[in-house]
Amino acid sequence: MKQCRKCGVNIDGDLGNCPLCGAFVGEEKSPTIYEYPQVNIKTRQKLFLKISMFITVFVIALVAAINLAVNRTISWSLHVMFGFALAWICIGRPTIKIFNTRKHLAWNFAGAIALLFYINIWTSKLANPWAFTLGMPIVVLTWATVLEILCFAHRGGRGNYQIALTKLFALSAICIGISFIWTKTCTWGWYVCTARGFVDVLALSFFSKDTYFGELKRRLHV
Amino acid sequence: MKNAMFDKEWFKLDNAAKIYPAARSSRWNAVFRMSVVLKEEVKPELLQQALDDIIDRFPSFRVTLKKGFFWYYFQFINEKPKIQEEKTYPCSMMRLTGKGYVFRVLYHSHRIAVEVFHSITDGTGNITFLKTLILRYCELCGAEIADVGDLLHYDDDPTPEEVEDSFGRYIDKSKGTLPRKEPVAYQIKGAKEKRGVLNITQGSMPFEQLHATAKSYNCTVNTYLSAVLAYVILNRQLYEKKSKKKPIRIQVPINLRKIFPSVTLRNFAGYYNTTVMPNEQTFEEIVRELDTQLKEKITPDYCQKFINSNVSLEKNPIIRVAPRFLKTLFMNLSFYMVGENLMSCTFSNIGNVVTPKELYDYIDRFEFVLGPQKYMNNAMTAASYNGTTLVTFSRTAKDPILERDFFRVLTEHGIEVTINSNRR
Repeated sequence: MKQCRKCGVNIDGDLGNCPLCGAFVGEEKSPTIYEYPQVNIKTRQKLFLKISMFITVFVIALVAAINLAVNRTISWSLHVMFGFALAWICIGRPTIKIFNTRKHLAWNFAGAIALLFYINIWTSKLANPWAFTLGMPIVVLTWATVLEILCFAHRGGRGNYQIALTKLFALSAICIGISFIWTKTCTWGWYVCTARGFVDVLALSFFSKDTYFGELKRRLHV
Repeated sequence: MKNAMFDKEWFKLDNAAKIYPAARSSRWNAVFRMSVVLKEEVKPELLQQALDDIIDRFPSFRVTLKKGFFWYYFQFINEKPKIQEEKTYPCSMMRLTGKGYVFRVLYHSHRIAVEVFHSITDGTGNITFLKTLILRYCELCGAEIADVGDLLHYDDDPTPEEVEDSFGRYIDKSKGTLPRKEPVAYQIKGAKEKRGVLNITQGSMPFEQLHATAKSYNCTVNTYLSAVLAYVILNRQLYEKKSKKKPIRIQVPINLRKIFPSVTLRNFAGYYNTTVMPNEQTFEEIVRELDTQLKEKITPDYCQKFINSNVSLEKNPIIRVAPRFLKTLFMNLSFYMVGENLMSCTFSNIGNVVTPKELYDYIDRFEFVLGPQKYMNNAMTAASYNGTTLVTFSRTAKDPILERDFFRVLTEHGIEVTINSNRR
């Protein structure tokens, strides 16, 4: 019988790895009467994704056909296509690939930026203030807050950090809001975001035992 | 269908059974399994015949769950249950309300499993059902059994005592009730598996070695295993270095039939929460603490108060007149507040399973698996048969933290453990 040296237990049957620690115990396969059936679990998530994919293809084909029939060209249906493509890039891809939190955030962030740019181009009003002057600080702020939670709540005390950072987030969002309503720009909001960035860098540098980037890498498991 | 035992088409859920249909969720529906591993591969046609033969012996199993205006209730079913080939994880979700049975008999390779919804029976009732099924199956396979001992034989008639609600019989309001307030306990958290996945890790060990080790600590096997479990969870909490330390509480079910004479096959079990405070303690100190708690606090008086507490809640006139949906809300809330959040882990030990000696040639071992828990990630059970004890962990988390530490402690104590798992 195979034995796991780490755990000190015997391993029954055809298991190649120790079920307790995952250590490799051997390739030899011995028949066992205790085996369980091998299950391929079909989750609701998989079914939902399949249905969503079907709906996407169906809707795109339908709107393209209507657009062609009515206007003899594909014009407004492109926006629908872009909308669906963006949703799949931001939500569908991370879900299918089972990304970790960091990759999820990166894809969602990229998607949000792309959406803002697209809306500005679409409306042909690059001077339109809300997309860049209000939207961008909020996106950056949300991203920074979540990143900070991941950075600082690496081990222990997660609850406390989350509460503190949520308060900070709310405060920054209020600053951006007031700044926008008062001056029609987000100068204040940017100042707050930049100040928070400095505080983060200082805090991490102060508490790190290594260099700043070394500590950041360690905390983000990069 | 009218049942001769009840003289009507339906019957009420017993006291302990009422919480389970109300508190169920999309991830949890209080299903647990008792299974047996045979030395030869299961013959499905003989198993079906055995089930057909014994089902009338267990009238309380021949039911489906129905929704009433005030309470859920059981209705008898005419059709006989069908065995099923096991194709999912153990204790997978069961469709409870409708036309089907609220238990299932599964087979796969050498294993026959009986999975039941906790409302129809408890561990003792399920193991009695499984033993009768195996007895009949082995008889059909050609086994000649001279004396069946205390096993129920399919030829005998069921008695009214076997289907009674013993909670109602043993209530004595003059003895008082139990205080329900306890602080929230520490639980090992971790990334969860996908919905429907239940990881099983089983460690088998010679009972003699386990008994000798327990004796060296001056305690019983049950106390020893509980102490190892508490010790492992305590060390985990200390390792996590959390600022707020919570107590470790192991829930140990009590078979009330051992204290109050009853032969009911429906629910008649209570529980006791053993508590270890979250400060650094040696294993010997934890053993002493739990030994004191299990020996001194589980008394007939405690069990009487436990029954009184449960039944008095059910008999409360406000609760009785409330419609079912309000009761469901209340029970869900109470299950959250005084249920699993107060426990670190459940440890259920059905003890030594006894069968006629002739069955030793057919049966390799008995297994006991608790289904996914509502709030906890882990549950532990133990069952002994023919000189071997089997400790089973069922887990909905991805990492086997608890069982890894648990079995390592056992091997450090010199017990030879053989591990098996449903994860490849």
